[in-house]
Amino acid sequence: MATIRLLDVGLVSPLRSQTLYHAVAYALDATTPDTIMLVSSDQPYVCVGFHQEAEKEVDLDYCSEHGLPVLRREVGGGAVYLDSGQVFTQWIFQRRHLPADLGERFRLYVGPLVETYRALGVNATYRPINDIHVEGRKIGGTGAASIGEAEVVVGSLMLDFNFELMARVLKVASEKMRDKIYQSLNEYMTTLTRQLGQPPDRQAVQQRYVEQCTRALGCEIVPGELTERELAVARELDERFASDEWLHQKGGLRQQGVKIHEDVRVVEAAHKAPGGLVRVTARLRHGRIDDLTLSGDFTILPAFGTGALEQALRGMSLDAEACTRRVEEVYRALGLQSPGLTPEAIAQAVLALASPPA
Amino acid sequence: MAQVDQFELPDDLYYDRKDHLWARLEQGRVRVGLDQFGQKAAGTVAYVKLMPVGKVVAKGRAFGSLEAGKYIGPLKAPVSGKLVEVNAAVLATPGLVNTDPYGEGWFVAIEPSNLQADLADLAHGPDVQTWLESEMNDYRARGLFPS
Repeated sequence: MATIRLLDVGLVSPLRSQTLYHAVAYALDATTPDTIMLVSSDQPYVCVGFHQEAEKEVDLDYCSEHGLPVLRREVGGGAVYLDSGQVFTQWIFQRRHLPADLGERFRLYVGPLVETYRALGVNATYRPINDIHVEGRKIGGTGAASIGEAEVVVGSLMLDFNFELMARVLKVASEKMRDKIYQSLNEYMTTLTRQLGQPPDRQAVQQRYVEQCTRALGCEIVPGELTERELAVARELDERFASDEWLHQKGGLRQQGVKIHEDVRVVEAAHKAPGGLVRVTARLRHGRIDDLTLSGDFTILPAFGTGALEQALRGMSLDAEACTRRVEEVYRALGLQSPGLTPEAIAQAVLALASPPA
Repeated sequence: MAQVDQFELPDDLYYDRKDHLWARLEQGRVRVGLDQFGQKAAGTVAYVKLMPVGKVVAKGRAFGSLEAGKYIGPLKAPVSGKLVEVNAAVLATPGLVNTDPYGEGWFVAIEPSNLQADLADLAHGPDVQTWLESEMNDYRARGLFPS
């Protein structure tokens, strides 16, 4: 591997924070150096994954009312709120200069991010396949794509993150779900600002990151500029990425609930019983119920029965027999009554959390 | 059958050497899928998007894309032609790409427009073993593939 080009493009528009690295990838030919791009958006925006349907994942009305652009990237994963609090660290490499195996590729890519956090005094660790955790909390996500002839890996240095707006911009079935997403983001994500107790110096963080990349990749990293060809491709992509046709693509990948990090997901399901609709909003951790809320238009007497069921189901895996047995035990122990709603129906509502999205 | 370690590539198929897509010749059409090396490298496939039947694609241009857990990549046509069949099963169950890459996990069938020329640079027959060994050795030599 020869030298790597560093493109530190600073703060740019939301559109450019996405189109520039795509442009470097699309313009890549055999003579293009491997490139690391550092970039932040100067304005907040929402970014959806390549295969997502924006209408189903993002509250587009809210975004429109609040002047938040919504952009589609050619990298996978879920919808995310972004702003100047993140430095995107984008690698645009020749295909044969990165591991073919994605696990190995992420290990290589995540290494300098982890070491940067550690150099700043934050106890970050690599959580395979592509997460970085600080004592059980995620600090930034990563993704990979083949774009043009390039292999691209993207992620970020998480200086700061707005958990509230992240939860707000998502399209969710209920406000209970939104509340649980917000609580879960707060509980299971972190940032450099939170860890250090104050905002870090952007340039200092970037400088450490480049040092760590130099060490991990074993080659010199040299500041460079975008070429005329790359800028021309960026202008073409600006037009495409800003078009309604590009944003509003149909079909799409539906994922179960909202992933908070590799081990934590917020999910919601509903089950219609004769006695009313049972809605279950839950946080799953390692596949078990970490937190759960039952709501709907059913009646359980005495009134504390709903809370008792929620408590009793925590820690359970989504196993039909075990869940049904646990709900029946609570009904028996507390003498619960619920007209038109059997313990089995409540268990069915809980088990629906495991069903793929419609 | 070409084989290196856990990777098996039937040598009656034709392979795109860059993107690891296979092409199977079938009475006037070419069925296309992802080889075992490609699907192992990508990981568990979560979503497959394919262009509709009737679309004309040029060799090397995308006829669709796939998303594995953490990765997205285009599916590039190994031969030019018109899409005459799209595998509804793989759209509904993308994991077929991993579980049955040379069978139920195929993507599209193409009615080729320039078959003989397009086949020329694809690996086939005894070349498949040589190519696969060289591919593996190359990645391993640079420490870019797990042993």
